[in-house]
Amino acid sequence: MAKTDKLAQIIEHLGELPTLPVVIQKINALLSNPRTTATEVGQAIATDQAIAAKIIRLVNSALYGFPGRISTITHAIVILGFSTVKNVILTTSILSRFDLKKNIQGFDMMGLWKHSIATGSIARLIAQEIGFRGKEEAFVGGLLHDLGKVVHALYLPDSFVQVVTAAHEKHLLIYEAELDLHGVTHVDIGAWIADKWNLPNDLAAVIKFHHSPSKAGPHALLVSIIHLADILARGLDIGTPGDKTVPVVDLEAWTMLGLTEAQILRILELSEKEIEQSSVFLTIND
Amino acid sequence: MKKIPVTDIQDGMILAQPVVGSAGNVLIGIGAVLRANMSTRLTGWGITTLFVESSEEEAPVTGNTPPSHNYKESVDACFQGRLVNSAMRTIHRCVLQHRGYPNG
Repeated sequence: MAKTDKLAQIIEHLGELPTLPVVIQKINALLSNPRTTATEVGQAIATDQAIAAKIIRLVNSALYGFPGRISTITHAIVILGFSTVKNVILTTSILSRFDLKKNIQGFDMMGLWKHSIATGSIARLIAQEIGFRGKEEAFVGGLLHDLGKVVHALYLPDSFVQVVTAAHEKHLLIYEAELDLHGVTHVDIGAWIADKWNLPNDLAAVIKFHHSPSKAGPHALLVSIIHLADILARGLDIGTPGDKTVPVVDLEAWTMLGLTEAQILRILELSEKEIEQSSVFLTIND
Repeated sequence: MKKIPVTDIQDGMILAQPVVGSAGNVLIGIGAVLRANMSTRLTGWGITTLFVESSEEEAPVTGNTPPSHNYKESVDACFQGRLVNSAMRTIHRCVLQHRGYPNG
C-alpha cells in the first residue's frame, strides 16, 4: 500500500479527533499583531473561562517565577510578556484536547507525556544556553514534538502497540518501526494534525522534522534544539518515548548548536528542577 | 540498604533507590554517588529521606569507583548501536557523568 493511502487510512480513523477551540485561533491572530494590547488579549481569553482559568493557574506556578501573584491574563502579559503567554495559551489549548490521564492497554501513556515534558524542559535550557531567543517556543516544541505519536496511541491503540512491540523486539526507534510496519510515521500523522489545527509554522516544523532537523529550513535551529533535547531526555531515562533506544544525532544540527561538553553537563544539571517545575502542565486538566 | 534523612547525606554515599519527583520522574538514579551539599537541593524538591547502600557497601569518598551498574547498564543498552560518531559518544559520556559516573 502506498504511503499516502496508508496515511489516508489512518486519518480516516482519526475522525473523532477534537478541534481546537475557536477562541484559540482568534487569540493567535491577536498575538501575531504587534499592535494588539494586553487588554485585548485578556478580553479574548475571558470568553473561554475554562481555558482562562487553566492559564492563570499555569502562569502562577513556580515555573514562571511569580507563584500566586498573577491575577489576570492582562497582568500575566505585562509581567511575563506576549511570547510566554502566547505559548502557555497554545500549549493549554492543545493539552486540553486530550485526557492526559488516559492509559492504553500495553503502553504507558503517562510515560510518553513525561518524556514530552522532559524534552520541552531540556529544550528550554538548551535555548537559554545558546542564547536562542525563542525559549518558550523551544519548550512548547519539545512538549508537543511527538503529537503524532500521542494521537496514534490514543486513537489507534492496537496499531500503536504493534509498533511499540516491534520497536522493542528489534531495538528500533518508534519512527523506524513505524516505517517498517506501516510506511507512515508519527511525523506524518503529526504534520497532518498541525495542518488541521493550523498550528504555528515553527511548531509544525518541529513536529515534522524532529528526526531530520537539518531539513527544517528557516526553523532548523529551533528543530535542532528539540532534536538534541529528545536524545538527552531519553538518555536521562525520564518517561518513555515508546522505544528503548536513542536517535543518532544529526551532525548538522549538532554543529549548528555548537555545545561544549561543559555546557551539556550544565544543561543536565539544571534539567531536574526544570522538569519538576514544568510537570505542572500535566495537571492542567485536573 | 538503609533509609536516612537527606540532612545525613555524606560525600560518597551510594543511592540505593532512585529519588523520584512528584510527577514520577527520576531526579537521581540508582547508583549515583551522593555529595553532602545535595541535601539543600533535595530539601528544596520536598524530599526528606532517601535510601543509600549500607555502610559495608559504601564507596570510598573519592567517588572514582563506579557506582552500581544498574543505571549505566540501562544507558548503555539505550545507546547500543548508536555510538556511531563522536557527537553521540560525547552525549553518552555526559549523561553518565551527570548520573555520577566520573569517567562516563
